[in-house]
Amino acid sequence: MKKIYTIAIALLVAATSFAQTGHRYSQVYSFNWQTSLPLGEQAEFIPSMGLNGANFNFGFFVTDNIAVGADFSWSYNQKSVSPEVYNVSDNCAIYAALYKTTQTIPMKAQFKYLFNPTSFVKVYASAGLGATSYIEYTQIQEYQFSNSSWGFLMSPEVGVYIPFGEHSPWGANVVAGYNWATNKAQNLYFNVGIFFSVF
Amino acid sequence: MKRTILILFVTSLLVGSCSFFNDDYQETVEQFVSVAYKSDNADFSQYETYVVADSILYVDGDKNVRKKNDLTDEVKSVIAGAMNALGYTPFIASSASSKPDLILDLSYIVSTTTTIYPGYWWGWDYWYYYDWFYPYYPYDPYYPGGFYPYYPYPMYPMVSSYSTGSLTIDMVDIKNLQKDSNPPIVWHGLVRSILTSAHTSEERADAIAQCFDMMPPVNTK
Repeated sequence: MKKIYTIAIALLVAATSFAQTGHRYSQVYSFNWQTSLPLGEQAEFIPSMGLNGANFNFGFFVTDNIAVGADFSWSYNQKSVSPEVYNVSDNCAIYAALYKTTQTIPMKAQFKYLFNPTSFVKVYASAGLGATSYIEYTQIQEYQFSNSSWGFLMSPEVGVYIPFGEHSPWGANVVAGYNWATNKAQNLYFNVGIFFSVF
Repeated sequence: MKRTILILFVTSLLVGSCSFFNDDYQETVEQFVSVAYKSDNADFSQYETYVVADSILYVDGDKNVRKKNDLTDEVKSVIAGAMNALGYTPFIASSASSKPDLILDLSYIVSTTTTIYPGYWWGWDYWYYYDWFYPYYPYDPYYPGGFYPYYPYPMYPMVSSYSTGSLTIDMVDIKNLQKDSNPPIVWHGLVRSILTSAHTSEERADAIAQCFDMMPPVNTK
């Protein structure tokens, strides 16, 4: 048992010292795969997680901890609805299968705060303000009907930069965030990708 | 560095813009669509007998040809079954002047250039408001068989751009038909893509029967 404690403490000390060898960033660019979980009215249209999406993010550090930048995303959700009867009016009914899709394109200015700018693995929180486009499509056979809107956007998120090596400018970026929007574009999003940093 | 960032940015957009995980798309869009519309003013309790057309009018742009084929027999059988189940009786002529209360005419819209742009999904409803009694495809109905002698009037199947590839069933009120007036269509059924996809006769029968099930041509109020 004593041996296990000794190894655990040794690992902790090693990790702590290793964690303090990270470079300070002056710029960071990340490119991510984005998945999203619709919320609110969007979830009424498509409740399931969307696995299609992309994200591009960059930040310029004005201090060791604080970066300003921008974030652009695109996410795509879809759902197949089995045939059912829709009563259009008292005297008209349609029996059809629907293929529903949504596209959200959030664009925002972003303020990022790094909690540990000199650590190897950097954890951050950020806040975004901007606009988002939202389009929902309903397809019946080859006919597609759409409904689109623009909304104001606020996005808190947390993330982590994990470099591929002690002196590598490249690394993995993992992000979780929430898009609050004045239209139907509300969702939780999760980004996984790579980043490129300038020391 | 700029070049690297640009390449990665474009690559991430290209990869992200691909639609993954949508294997059920094709299966969904190939499903039948059945539509049924019932006239607001029709009193179905006054009708007792019916006849189903013994041929299908194929509408292909300006060309309209009536054809008798296996599909006709298949469709007729399904419609007759649905009408009988609703309490209607197949018409049997007792004299040269006797006529059925209802005629169910059949059309297959191969293609049409008529275009009505809908709004959102519920635009399907507007389509019917626009087309109701609106004659896009008048034709001479004279047919020297056992069917048309009961009905010496012009008939107009309801069509729109949505109808392409569809079988339409128009239920015409013969009982109250005035000479030289448009035939009143009291019920309309439509099945899209009935011949354009690989469907079994059982699936076709279900799709046609669905029209009668979801909006039956009977009084409900």
